[in-house]
Amino acid sequence: MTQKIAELTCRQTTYIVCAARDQPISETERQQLEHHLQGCKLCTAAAAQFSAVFAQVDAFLGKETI
Amino acid sequence: MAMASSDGGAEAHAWRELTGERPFLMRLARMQLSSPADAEDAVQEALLAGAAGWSGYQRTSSVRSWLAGILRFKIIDAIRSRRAQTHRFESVSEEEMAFNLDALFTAEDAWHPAVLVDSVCGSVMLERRQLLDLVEICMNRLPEQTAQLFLMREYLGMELPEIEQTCTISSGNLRVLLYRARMRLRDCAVRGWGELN
Repeated sequence: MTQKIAELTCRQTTYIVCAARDQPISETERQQLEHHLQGCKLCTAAAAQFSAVFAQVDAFLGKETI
Repeated sequence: MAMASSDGGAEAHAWRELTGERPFLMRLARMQLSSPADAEDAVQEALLAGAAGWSGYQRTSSVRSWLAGILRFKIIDAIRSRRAQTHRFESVSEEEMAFNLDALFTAEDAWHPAVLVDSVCGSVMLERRQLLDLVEICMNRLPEQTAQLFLMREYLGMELPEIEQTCTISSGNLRVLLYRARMRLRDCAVRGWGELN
């Protein structure tokens, strides 16, 4: 039997995406995020934007190159 | 100055290139260290370390990013050895609260379609330098207190409990301010991509 994944709001996905910079997200959070992103084009776009901005911040601060 | 090259002209050129980044490095250091003298010391140490390591600098990153990486360790050393004082957190500033996160979302907490700029990234269209300049502009727009905490985490790589202790900030306030910093940076950068493209 598969367990039902609790639905997140878009705002809640931003909490997880941002907090993942500070500590690893849990398996439950990962599943919830993935589930939400599958059905939400706006969050898919926002997640890509966050990813790009974070990579640029890392490059700017001399942590990684882009 | 201890540079590996025996060519005085090249050394002078390298030193000019390094010291040209001093204002940027001072801005970074001042965000972390409350005393200008401490910030000056950290930057001077970073520039001297940069000069000493110049011959090994591979130019895979900009001089600015390379020096920022060196400065990071100087600031961390100063903070951890308690040679330097950091800014103390008092309360969330009015300037911070002026940024209205609620405007980004609908009443149901979905992204507001009218405000979510549907630009994935300007990385294809924009030069790397433009992207990094934009990051700097956006970071400079963060309220000072937010920027300081954000950089302690993202630049110095300090763990949250250490930041809480160093700045005497509660865990809840720290998490809120880091979240707000990232939301503001995304918002600013995405708008910038749209304007630069």
